[in-house]
Amino acid sequence: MLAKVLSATAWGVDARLVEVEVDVASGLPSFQIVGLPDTAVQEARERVRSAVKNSGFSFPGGRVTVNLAPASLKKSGSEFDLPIALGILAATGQMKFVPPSVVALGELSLSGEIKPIAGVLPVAHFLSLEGKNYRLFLAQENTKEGALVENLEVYGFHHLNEVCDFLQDKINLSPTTLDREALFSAGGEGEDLSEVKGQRGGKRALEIAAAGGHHLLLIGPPGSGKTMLARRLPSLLPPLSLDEAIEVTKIHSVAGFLSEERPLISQRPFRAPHHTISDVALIGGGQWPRPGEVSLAHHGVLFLDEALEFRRNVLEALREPLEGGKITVARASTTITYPASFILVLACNPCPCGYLGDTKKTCTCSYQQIARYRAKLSGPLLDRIDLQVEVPRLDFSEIASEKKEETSQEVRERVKKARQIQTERFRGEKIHLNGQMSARYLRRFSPVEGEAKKLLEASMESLALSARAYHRILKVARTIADLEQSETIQLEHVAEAIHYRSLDRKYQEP
Amino acid sequence: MEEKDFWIAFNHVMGIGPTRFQKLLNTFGDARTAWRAGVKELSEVIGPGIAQKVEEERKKIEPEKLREKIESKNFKVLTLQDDDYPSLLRNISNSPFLLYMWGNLDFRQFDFFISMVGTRRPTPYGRKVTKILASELAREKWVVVSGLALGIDGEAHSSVVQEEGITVGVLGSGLEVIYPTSHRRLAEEIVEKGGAIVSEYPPLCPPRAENFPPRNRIISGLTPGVVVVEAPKRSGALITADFALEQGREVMAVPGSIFSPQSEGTNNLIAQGAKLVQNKEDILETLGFSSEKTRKSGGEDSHLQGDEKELFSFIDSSGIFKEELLQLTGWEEGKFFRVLLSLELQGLVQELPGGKVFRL
Repeated sequence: MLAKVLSATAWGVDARLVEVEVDVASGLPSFQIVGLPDTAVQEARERVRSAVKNSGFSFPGGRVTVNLAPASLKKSGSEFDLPIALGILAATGQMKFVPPSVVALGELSLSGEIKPIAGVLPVAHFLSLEGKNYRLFLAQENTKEGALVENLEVYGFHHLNEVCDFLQDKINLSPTTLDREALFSAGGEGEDLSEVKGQRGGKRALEIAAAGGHHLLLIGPPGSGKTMLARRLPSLLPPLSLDEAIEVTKIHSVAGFLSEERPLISQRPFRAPHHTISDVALIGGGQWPRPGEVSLAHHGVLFLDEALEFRRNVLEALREPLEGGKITVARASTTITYPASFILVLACNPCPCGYLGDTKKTCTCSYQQIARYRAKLSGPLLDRIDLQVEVPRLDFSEIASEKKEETSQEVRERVKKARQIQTERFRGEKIHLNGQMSARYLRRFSPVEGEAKKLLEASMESLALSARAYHRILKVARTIADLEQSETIQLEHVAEAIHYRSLDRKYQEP
Repeated sequence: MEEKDFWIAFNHVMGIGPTRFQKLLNTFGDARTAWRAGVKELSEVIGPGIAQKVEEERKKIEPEKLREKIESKNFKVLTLQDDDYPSLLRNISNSPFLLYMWGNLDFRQFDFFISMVGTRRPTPYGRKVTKILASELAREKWVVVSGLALGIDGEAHSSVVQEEGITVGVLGSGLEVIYPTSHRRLAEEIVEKGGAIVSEYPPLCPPRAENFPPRNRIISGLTPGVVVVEAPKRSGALITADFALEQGREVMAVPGSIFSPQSEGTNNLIAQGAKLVQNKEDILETLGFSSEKTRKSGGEDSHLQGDEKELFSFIDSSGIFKEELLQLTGWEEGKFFRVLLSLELQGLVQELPGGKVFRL
């Protein structure tokens, strides 16, 4: 007899329906799975056989053939265990047929328990968009994730028996409901900017980065607070919208990083991979391309501490996502595009020994060494970083303890206003933040005139700024002007922007 | 074969310095005899270890060819026996028994020699002082001696070269191994302008760390006075000052901020009695030349007004972080950066890697 059960699989942050067909015929006992299954899917045979037996059913003695259609789509993972088991039970008449509105996903343990899987949200989102009143059957632990989307009935189960009982109307279950809004706003505040004492220059740079979507380089000795500052950048960005949150959560779902307690990522992500990371882990990949750190940081902040310690090819791989806000990972099996739009924050020491600009320890590097060290940072990657800020290590305990520091909330308000101005400005354009402006946009939206222009030209010459610095200065000046709600770019805005190009200056050897 | 060839040969034996060489001369009369003496005789004079080394080297070195090779590279060899050996250097207790020289400098034709030394990591202030003093001295036909190192030394040499003056670089390595290599071009310019690069080490000798302190005795020994521009607490420049005192030469120092680590050594020198140098005239006076003071020190900010004057007053030559300046002024970022940039464009202050701003 033949039975059909619907299932689905995540495909990047999207999903595809998979039809699981099970045929049980007489003949010598065998169990075949066809339809481009990988090893994990092949192993389903052993899990399903035991799960069926241990749930009080009998496993058919004849030829069992399972086809996963479309056969051209490669399948991986353990999520087909449940639909295969249901198919076998239906095909052998141990259960009535499975209605076509049911989409089942889940891994089976040998005892028949249903285990959670990764990548549920993309499937749920896909099904809700299809609008065919699908019912999604999941492991109990996966239900919250599935219920994040609207217009979809999601049922959670603990055991294979439970699914069969429900399908034969022996028990009654209601679909999982979830208060999305509550979950969305329950994220709680992250780390706050007011916890950082002093570091006015660093904080100001964060504000500009947040306002204009500029990438940032923090240069400072160990212990100067680079990491502390970077961690607080997400708190300065406007909160995620629900749609953005779902988008981010989908990526984390595919990567298997969601937990039952935290099914929705409502805060902007902050990812800080260690410098030993491989290029595949950073940009995504593997035989079945999984999202990398750049995608996990989507709509948030990617922080690379000790940026110079990262392998060259790893840093170079950042260029595509920085340029296009997404990353396409091509493998022999498939090609998948993940979104990867983030603010990049790099941090590095100011010199090889690390103590240049430290008030307590003296730096032992020669200026040649420092120049060589800084040259390593330059190149195509630095070209995409608008703000370069020196973060000195200062003892502010006395001065700062009295002073009240600004909270993230206060800064975020200014950032919001500046972003509104940008939204207005770029209406109908392909970009929406100053940080994305190319030279062509700069000419249109970021003109400098009069005194500001004179100052910029004089500075270019006497500070020996490189040509690439020119455009970066204009971009940052535009954002500073937006923060001040100024229509035109003023002298002050240019002057400040120039100070965020400390690596572009050709320092005379002092 | 000339006697000189054997001097050069002995110079190529590791462990033969001025003292041992003098002992050899005293015992054997001349270097030729010493070179050909038996190991036993040698070891009685310079000990068995060094004697063994001489024995090994004797097998490899052919004195005449060695000299020809050195001369073929246009290096001169000045021995203590030569008339053109620098006379001031002859008077110190352990004068090098020979000097290799690159360049056509005849020390006898010049009367005024001065050494200028300092840290390899100067502040913009130290660099500026060096530039002013060295160029002024060069214009008055003084020969400036220094160590061709990075920082103050290099600045002194290049300032003199720019004035088309004569300057002498004393190396801690062989003449063919200019160290630091980035000063190769500077060394060539020094020679082109009539100056010289000298060394007591064989031309191919690498820059060994232990060579540099003895090298400093030659810098001070070549001149009647040493000017230390900037030197942190433990600095080679201070070793040069010590040698100068030992050799009975004048020690002069340029004062600096009490907050600047680069001036710690020089300020200490002044506290111990070194002559304080504010301008070229102070140097000339110390060396016994009377002169009228022409330059006044300080007063560069007199034309500044308002915000610029206020900000400038917080910035000194030992540097201050922009972060601190922001705190001290209490200004908004826009105004702060506008005024700072204006000072920078006027060439009054300079920002360096690390986030510090220095007064120039």
